[in-house]
This record gives sequence, structure tokens and C-alpha cells, in this order.
Amino acid sequence: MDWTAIWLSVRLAAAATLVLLAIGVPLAYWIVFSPRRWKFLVEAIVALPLVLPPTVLGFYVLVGIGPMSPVGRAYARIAGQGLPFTFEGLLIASVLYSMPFAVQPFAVEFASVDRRLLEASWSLGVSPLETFRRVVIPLSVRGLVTGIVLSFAHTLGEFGVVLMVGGNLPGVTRTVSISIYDAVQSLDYAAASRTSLLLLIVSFIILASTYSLQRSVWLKPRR
Amino acid sequence: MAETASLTLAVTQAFASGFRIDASLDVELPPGSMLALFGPSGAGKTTILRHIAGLERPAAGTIRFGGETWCDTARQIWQPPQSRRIGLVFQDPTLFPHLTVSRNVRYGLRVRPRSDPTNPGGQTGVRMGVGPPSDPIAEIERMLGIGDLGNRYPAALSGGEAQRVALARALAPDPRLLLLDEPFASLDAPTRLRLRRDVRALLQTTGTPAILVTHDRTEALAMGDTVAVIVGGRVRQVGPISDVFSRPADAEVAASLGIEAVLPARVIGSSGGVIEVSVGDVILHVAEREPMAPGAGVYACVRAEDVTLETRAPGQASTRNHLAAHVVSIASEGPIDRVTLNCGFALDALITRRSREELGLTAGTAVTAAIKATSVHLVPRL
Repeated sequence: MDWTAIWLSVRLAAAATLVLLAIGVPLAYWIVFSPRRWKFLVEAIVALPLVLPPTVLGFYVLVGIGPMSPVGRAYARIAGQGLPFTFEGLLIASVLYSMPFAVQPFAVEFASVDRRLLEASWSLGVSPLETFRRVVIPLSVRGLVTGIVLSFAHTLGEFGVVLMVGGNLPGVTRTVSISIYDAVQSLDYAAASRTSLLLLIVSFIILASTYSLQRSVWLKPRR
Repeated sequence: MAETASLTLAVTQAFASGFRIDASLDVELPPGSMLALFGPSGAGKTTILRHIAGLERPAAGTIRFGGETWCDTARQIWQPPQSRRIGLVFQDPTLFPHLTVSRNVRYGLRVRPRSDPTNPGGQTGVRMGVGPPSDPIAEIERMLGIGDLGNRYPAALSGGEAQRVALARALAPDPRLLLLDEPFASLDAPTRLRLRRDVRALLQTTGTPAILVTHDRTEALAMGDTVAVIVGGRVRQVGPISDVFSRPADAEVAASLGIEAVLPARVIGSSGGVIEVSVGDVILHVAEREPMAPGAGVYACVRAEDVTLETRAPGQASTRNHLAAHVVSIASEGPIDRVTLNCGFALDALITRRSREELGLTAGTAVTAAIKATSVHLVPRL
């Protein structure tokens, strides 16, 4: 089994999940609580990866971080190395690609918190941000866990975006899905089968535990 | 807070449904007093309360309370709910479900700690008789009877208990004004009566003025000192409870109040199932439906259709109350005439035009107003 690729995928998924937690929570907060009328545009942009072919997303990310773009040039000047075909480049692509899988569960859960609880908190002198921390976040634990798990699982299994942005450098950008593709290309069906089965089992366990959490199978019922 | 605070409000807001709030109000709120915002459902009472709370922004207008300007759209002044130092209680308890009762009650203290009760210059907390100053929060919990619930979660509380916790939470940071949005409406009757009594007593102890939204006239009578009648998004009449109920400004206000005289009275005593109350110098006999302590303040409510008029001295009859009166004025309401009497207090009688003609009633005629003891309803004042 290609343990290098598996380890790389786990690291990539963990890093992408952390970044998504850091930017997804504020973004979901803004989407839910902002009075701006045009916020539907942001919602649509966040949801784009759900419908866009990964190659299209990958293509734009590649162009966006490449030497042709100001962002790519600035990064290359600072880091001494361009973003395409690096772990960091892959991370940026993964974050964009998995964005809806984090932001949407967060936003759904934030929005489901009874608005009068927020008003009660405000009337007691607690600022909107502090109310978010003391009321909304504790009541959104399930949505946060769902978002985290789905982002992780989704990043673990991505293929098209990785291929476009990362290429296939062992230990740098060759993720587990690309490793399977490689194994099949070189007719090493045994290796492909072992890795595929591992990915299947891991993904199933992750999703099964998420759904069990959502249905409160193991938790006491909450009113 | 020991001083009377004034609340001045003039707000307008239009809604997509075509409903429009155009309310103005100017009232004094002495410590521990209660203003009832009374009116039918959909009249805009809750919206006006939300304007005062800062949860709703008027399209135009001003709101001032106790020397502070909370909202002035012309001068672009807006105080968010956080800086108004109010307490708010909704119809449903809306406790934080992830916090225990104790942490719910103390939720607002972290940002708005009560000032030191031993500091005479600062805000005074709950003043409790003699003895060393006790923990004011514990006192509030004790008075509301939730002292033993501290470690429970809201899901494990009854409706009445939860609403008591919500009240304690609102009062804990020592607000300058308590806003109550039909807080008793979703409780069963015995729980509601007990809680009304406890809330009234607690507010008089803490000295917190309160505004109560209600569509229940008994509740407005029992709890309010002042009432503002709200119909169709406007404040139609403001004044002491008995004035407003007895002398509605116009027919629409009268309709929303219920056509009934509301007479401030005092219980004298009771015997044989009949309570005697005094309305000024006049004694009324009232059927005893619930025991009333002598000396208790009550409102005696009499419907105009329950007042019978007699011109001759009455013979033997079951009617308990025969009041000497004279006719002040007569107004025609279709086939029915409204006869306004003076019998030591103002009282209306509704009679048919034919009866009025047969009795030959005109302004100044001396009559006897007869009221059955069972037609008088007493509402205890809390």
C-alpha cells in the first residue's frame, strides 16, 4: 500500500479542515446574521464547488495561483517558490473545493438557533459576538462536527482538483486517490484494491458516525 | 432605582402587510410601578415593546427613557439593546437550553455586574428588611421560589418554573426597566395567578418599573397601575387603570376594553356568601366567588346591560343592590339607549328605548339603579 500517499492525504485533509474551521465559522456567521441583501451572492459562490466539475475549479485555481497571476507572483517572491504543484497550492485548492461542506452545515445550525435566545442575550447586555460565542456556538456543536467531518472526508477523497493543481509528485502532491489511479494505470489491481478498500472503510466509518451524531443515536434527547 | 423615570416615545413603522405603527406615549414610571400596554391581538403592542427594547428599529421617531435618548432617527442616535439596561421576558421562557438554571439566571452578570449593595452611593439592589445585606440574586431566586432548581437544565422544568427562571434572569443584572411580553399567557390558570402575585411583589421590592404587554383585561386590571390602550398601531388612551376603563376616550377604545364600569373599591367584609365592598361612600353587595380579605383593594366591574332602572321604590326582589341615582345624560345607540347615571360614582345602564320612554327618563330624573350581586365582578388588585 502507498503509505506515503495515504499520509499525505490525511495531512492535507486535516490542514484543510483546520483552515475551513477558521474561515468557515466567521463566513457562516456572516451569511446567517448579516442584514446585507446581496449575501445570496456569497452563498452561491460558496456552493459553486458542489456543481462545478473539479477540473474547472482546478483550472481556475491553477491559473489563479500560477505565475501569471499577481497572487501567484507575490507568493513566489516571498516564498521563493511558486504555488502550483506544491502542498500549499493543493491546500488552497482543497479549502475552496470543500468550502460548502463546512460552511453549509455550520450555517444551517447557526440559523436554527431560536432567535429569541439571541434577543434575550442582547437584552442582558451581551454583545452580538459574545452572544455568538456563549449561545450560538454551544447550541451548534452538532453542525460544527458535521461540517468538520464532511470537510475532512471530502478532502480525503478529492481527485480532479488535485490532479489539476498538484500534479503527481510522491510525498508532495500525490494523494491517495491519485495513487489508486496510478496503480490502475500500471495494471497493479492488487494495490489499487487494497487502497480503495481502505478509503471505502474509512469514509464509511466517518459518515456513519456523523449521521449517528445527527440522529442523536448515542446522545440523550435534547428538547 | 429610587426615582421616577419618564418614558417618552413617538415612533412610526410601516409593514409590508399594510399594517402601520404610529404610536406616541409619554408616561411617568415610578419605582415598582407597572404600565400595561393593553389591546387586542395584532394591535401592535409587542412591536412597540420591541421598539422600547431596541430589538426593532422604528422607521422614524424618538424613544427616551429616564433622561437617556435610546433612539432618535432625526439625529441618528441609536442605542442597541445591550446599552439600554433593560430586562426582557417573552411569552415563552426562552431559557438557554445548554445552561443550568443557576447559570441562566447569572448569564447577564458577567457583562453587567450589580454594583456593590453596601455602597450607598451606587445602585441599590434588592432591599430586604433588616440584617446584613444578602446576595441579591439569591434573594430574587428565593422570592420567585426557584432557589432549589439551580442545577437543573431548562428541559427539566415545568412551564411555570421556566418562566420564573426567565424573570430571575431578566432581573438579576438590576435593570432600569423590565419589559414583559405576555409572560403569563402560556401558563395554566393557577400557575398564572400565583406568578402574577409573586412578580408584582418582587417588582415592588426591587423598585423596578415594568411595562406589561397583555390582551387580558383581568391581567391589566390586576397588575397595571397605568394603562395604555393600543388599537390599530396607535396609542389611543393613557391613564390610571380605573379612569381609562371607566371613561374610554372613544367607541373603539371602549370596544377593546369591554363595555363595563370599572370601579375602584375596597373590601369591607363578607358574610353568608355576600361580600360588601365600598365604592366611595356607596356600599355594593357582591356574590362571593373567592374569599377576599377585608381591606383589600379591588376593582368592582359592572356591565351596563346588567344595570336595571326603576322609578318607583322597589318591592320585595332578589336584587341586592339598589342605588339612588339621577340621570346625567342619555345617548341613543340604535334601539338601545345608554343612560349615564350618577349614583355617587358614574355608572352606565343600557336599556331599550321603549323602557326609557315608559319610564319617562330625561336628564335629571331621579331613579334607582338595581344591580344583582351576581352581576358584579371583583378583580383583586395585586
